[in-house]
Amino acid sequence: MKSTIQFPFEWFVIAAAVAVAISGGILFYPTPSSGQRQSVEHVVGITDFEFAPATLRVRIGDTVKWINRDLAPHTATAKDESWDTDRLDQGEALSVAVTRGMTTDYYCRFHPMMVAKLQITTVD
Amino acid sequence: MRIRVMLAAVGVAAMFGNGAAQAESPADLNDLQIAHVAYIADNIDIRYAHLALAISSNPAIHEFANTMIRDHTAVNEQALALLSKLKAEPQDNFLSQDLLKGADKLVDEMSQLRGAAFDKRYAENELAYHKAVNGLVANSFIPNIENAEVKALFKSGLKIFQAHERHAQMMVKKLK
Ligand SMILES: [Cu+2]
Repeated sequence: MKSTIQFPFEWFVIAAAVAVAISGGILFYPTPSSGQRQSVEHVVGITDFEFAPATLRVRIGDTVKWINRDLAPHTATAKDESWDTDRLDQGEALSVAVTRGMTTDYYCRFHPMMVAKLQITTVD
Repeated sequence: MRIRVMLAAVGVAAMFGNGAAQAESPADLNDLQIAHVAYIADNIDIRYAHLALAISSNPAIHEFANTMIRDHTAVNEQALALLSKLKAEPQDNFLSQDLLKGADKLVDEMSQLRGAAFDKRYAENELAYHKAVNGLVANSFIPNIENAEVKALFKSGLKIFQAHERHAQMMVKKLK
């Protein structure tokens, strides 16, 4: 038993390195020291007629990927229809780039009571 | 086409009988009878939707009707895929027959209406119909379905029909 107590720090380093490798570029990214920030691909799941998260914080240059996990087809469509994933059947996904000035309120064209929004942030 | 094929299948089942025990109440139906009711109920709503597309000129009604066709078709496709995987045939029963009779009457009635009168009747019926079917699915079907995969499909179906009920509610309010 004693031998296992000798290596916790090394384990921590390995675990941390693995965690960074797995999460980097997917959901989290290491804070860039150079000031250049990688774009992030966010995921919005559509389950039981709801977009989750209902409010998603994004930044210009990121992408948002909508995945439909429902049996019913859905869309993610800008309130003013300036962008649209079009019909997503069960298991289908589509990404939209976050651009300056884009419409952030969106809904499902097929089920107009499904509404959600993007929140574009500029602060780090 | 889909509806005609379905009606023909029901007719054939009625002619040859299905050998199942006679059920008197929705809670007595077996899984294959429940599957039959659901399939009929889906197709009835698709039928109402086609009527709405033919008669109504209200864009909101058209959008709603198209959603009914799209969603109920998706559910039916999953149901048929599951039944074929289980190598099972849906069984005709008293409730399917009652639903069809009710639908025939309503289609006749709604076919006479035009304009706002049709839109109002269609929206109100969609609300009442989804409410009734959802009650049946939640209270009589889901608790009694034995097969786990069939039960899971009904649970996702119920979520869809509950969303339709909310959507219909919204439409009824808008048309007032
Ligand atoms: Cu939708």
